[in-house]
Amino acid sequence: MNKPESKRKRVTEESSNNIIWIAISSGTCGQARGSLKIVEAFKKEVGKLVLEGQVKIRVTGCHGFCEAEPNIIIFPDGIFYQHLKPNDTEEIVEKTILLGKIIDKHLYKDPQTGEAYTYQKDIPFYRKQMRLLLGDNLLIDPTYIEDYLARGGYQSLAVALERSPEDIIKTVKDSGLRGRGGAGFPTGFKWDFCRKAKGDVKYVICNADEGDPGAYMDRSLLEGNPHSVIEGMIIGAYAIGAKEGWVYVRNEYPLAIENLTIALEQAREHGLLGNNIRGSGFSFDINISRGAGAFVCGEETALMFSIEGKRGVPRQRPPFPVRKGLFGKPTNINNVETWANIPKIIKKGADWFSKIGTETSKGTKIFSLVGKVKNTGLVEVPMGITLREVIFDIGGGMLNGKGFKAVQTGGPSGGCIPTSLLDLPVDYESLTKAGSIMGSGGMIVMDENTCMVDVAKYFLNFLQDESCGKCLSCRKGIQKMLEIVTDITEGKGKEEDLETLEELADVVKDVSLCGLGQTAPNPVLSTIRYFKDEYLAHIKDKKCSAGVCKTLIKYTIDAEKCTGCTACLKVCPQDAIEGETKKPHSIIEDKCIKCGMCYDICQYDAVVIT
Amino acid sequence: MIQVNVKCPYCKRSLMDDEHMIDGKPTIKVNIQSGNRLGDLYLSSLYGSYKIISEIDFTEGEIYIFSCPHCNSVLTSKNLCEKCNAPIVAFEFIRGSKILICSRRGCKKHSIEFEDLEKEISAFYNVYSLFFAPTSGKKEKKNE
Amino acid sequence: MPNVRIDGIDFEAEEGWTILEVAKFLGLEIPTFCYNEGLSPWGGCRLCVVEIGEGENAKLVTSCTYTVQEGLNIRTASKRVIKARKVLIELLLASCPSSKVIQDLAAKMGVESTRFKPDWEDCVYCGLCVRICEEQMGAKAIGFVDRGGKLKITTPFDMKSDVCRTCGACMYICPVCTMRCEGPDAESVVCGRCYNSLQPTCIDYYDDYKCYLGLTRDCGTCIQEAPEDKKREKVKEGKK
Repeated sequence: MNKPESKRKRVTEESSNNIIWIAISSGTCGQARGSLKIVEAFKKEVGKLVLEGQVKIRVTGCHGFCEAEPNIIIFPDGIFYQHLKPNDTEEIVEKTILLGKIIDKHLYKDPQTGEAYTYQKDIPFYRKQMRLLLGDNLLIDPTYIEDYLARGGYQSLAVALERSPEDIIKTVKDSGLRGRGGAGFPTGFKWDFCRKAKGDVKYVICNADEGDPGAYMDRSLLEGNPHSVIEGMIIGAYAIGAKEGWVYVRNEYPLAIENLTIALEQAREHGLLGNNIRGSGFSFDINISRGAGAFVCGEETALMFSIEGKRGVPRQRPPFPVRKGLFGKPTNINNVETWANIPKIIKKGADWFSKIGTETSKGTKIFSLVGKVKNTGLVEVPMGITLREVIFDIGGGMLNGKGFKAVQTGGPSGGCIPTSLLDLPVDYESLTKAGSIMGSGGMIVMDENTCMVDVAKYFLNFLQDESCGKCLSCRKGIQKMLEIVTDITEGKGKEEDLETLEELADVVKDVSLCGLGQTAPNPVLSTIRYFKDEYLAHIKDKKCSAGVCKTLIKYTIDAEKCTGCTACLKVCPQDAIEGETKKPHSIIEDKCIKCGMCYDICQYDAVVIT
Repeated sequence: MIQVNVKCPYCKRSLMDDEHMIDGKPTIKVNIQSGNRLGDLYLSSLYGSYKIISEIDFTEGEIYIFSCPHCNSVLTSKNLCEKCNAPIVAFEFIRGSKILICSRRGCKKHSIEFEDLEKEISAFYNVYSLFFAPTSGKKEKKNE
Repeated sequence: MPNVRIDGIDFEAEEGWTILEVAKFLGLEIPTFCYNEGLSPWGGCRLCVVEIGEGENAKLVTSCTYTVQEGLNIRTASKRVIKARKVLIELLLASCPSSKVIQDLAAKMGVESTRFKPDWEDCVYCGLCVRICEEQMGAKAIGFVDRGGKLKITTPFDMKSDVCRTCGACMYICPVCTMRCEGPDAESVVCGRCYNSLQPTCIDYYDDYKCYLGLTRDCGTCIQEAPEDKKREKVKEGKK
């Protein structure tokens, strides 16, 4: 029988024998940038070496620093190389691997100071994070359970099975862990309710239907370290008394599904899932249920209906899932990141966990920092850190020197936070007070060229398609809000529109059945709250100061800057630019569709958007 | 955090006081006695918050007697604290459920006892509903 | 036997009753749209919402689906509820102004205009047809398909149904496609003639008062076609 302990020993022996290994970041983001070709190239180069056994290649999950993809880390030193191409591999193997020489051009350099950083742990993006969950992504090949075992994997399960279920629940309660899916419900209490609920058959579910646009932390956890989630679920099932569990993962994550399937198989082979786990008498197994493209199925009651094979339409609560959930049985449903926290809490204790974070929000949270920021990627930080630190210290500040305007948190259920609130601590309560929510952890950074009315329009459009359609308020309310906001962006806004929007938004929020409808007005309400002048400018002056709303902007060519190079003329799809060579060009306003091609191609900044 | 509205278990009158606020919420007002020192004590109504307002200087480790400011009944129950053996003080929460705190200054033992699981679940979900009651949003707007 | 307080009245309800059933028993009026006594409650129109709970924890729930519990405090017509209902009616009017049921609801709630652009759809997705087909006719021939803006009610894969017996129950129960507003102001977005006029509409056109049931406006004469020439006159006088 495959004993985890013997596998652990073998791998740790491996690492102590001065073996060099190359961790190649290959989550979906890395693969999209071509990391698999890099893997092939390295395999070829290493294959040529005489000392082949001394150099290993580890295809890992996402390393988190997505801006730097494709990137690798060379262990044991921890040298970080970014933006690689397949033909860089030969030089890397020759110089760095064999001779220990650093190749400067592959190093990460600070955009402000130009300082180069050789080692991954020194790079400011990484240094300022607290990567309790994502740290292991650098060290693990998700398709090899041996890697996870070598890092101490499944030790928490061993410890947990020796303790009583009530004791485990007490630890989770004392840790202060709150749901990472967005609602922030205290996890320990949820487990307790589920345990105490009447019935012999109970279920646990992992909600991996990450639907927020711009959020991909659950994806990276499932792709890069599925065992951390599996271990958490087994411990949870033991504590609650469940014998069967599901991971509901969205179908749009094929790599996550693949790695999870492999991980489950390997866990079963090692006796960590199935009957009589490790001889404890406790039996538990996990099924995978795939989504079918509906954002609303991330809502827990809709998710459970979906697993049951019904339409993903939310239902009223009470009764809550902990009392009556999947197939009518008490069900505990937690987010991927919540489950991933459990093994660490069991191993290091509730006190350790509760020291991280703030009074009411404990532990770390993974955020997907995207948008107009220099260092895009997955950022894991302790709760209570300020938005400013995340965006400017870790994120490296704004892209292209543009000014910060707002950061959108919480996806379509969240809101925009303006400059005045940049020093807000990131925790559940503070974000809610500011009119947004923590949500799943999406953070979209917006600069001065983002039109906030357009942002509201984008999210309303998204939600209109994703609403299940049951509630009149949600289905029609979102449609009508979208119509009004679209009119505003097209210069057809009227003075009364803001009041109508707010009243409609309040009612949709109040009256809708589920979270989707209840939070759908948030983007509109928060942008009106902090950016009212922008709305008024669109309505009264018919102006879009960010230069986004096509009907309200005009493209012109500054005759003084224009050199007459005809570059824009050639690229315009509507033939809307006229002018002779070496003479200033001009744009025919009637033909211009404001596609922006001329703006992008002009090297003299002569195209002006007003 | 759950905000609790408590009553005296004997006279059933509300112990909430909104002239003194802690954590932005009304406080729980009780009469407090140690030896012959008498005074008012205002506790935070957020379950889990240990902040208080009082003119009395509390001595760490000392046991105090809590009584109702309306009917003067002593609020101490028969039960003793698991951690420090001091008497437990009981307040009535929603119908049938009780809030229990330790009467020894410095001891952090406290718990809520619910009449049934259903009520406990509802109480928690009311607080932790994802979309904190829209009324709080409206209040913010008036202040701006 | 849960004890509840509804609009200040202390009442001991039966186990398993919904708030709407309690209200009906006590004679308190709660407007509904997608509710039908003979069918299971759906809770889609949100019109029957009432306010429960107190202070910061007060929230709106649909009374047709919410089972009463011990100690529940219900307000059927608080400010929040009325505001919500009015906006919901505006949304209904904007979806389907040609429905008499919706026009009557609007007139009853005192909604005289809608701020939203009318869509003139012929379905408001109340689900009554789906429920009657499944529960009363036992056929389950139609159902909800897709979601969001693409939501529709149709047979599986839009194919001709094997189980549909063309009984017409779905048409009978539909509040929108069958009961069309046919009063003199039928083309306007908010008509409300049947409920808002002090005088029955029949008197506007006929010499005799046609309402057999007095001024209850339930006789249905108001929806009879007004004579063509009289209609044109009325329209010239100016729409509301």
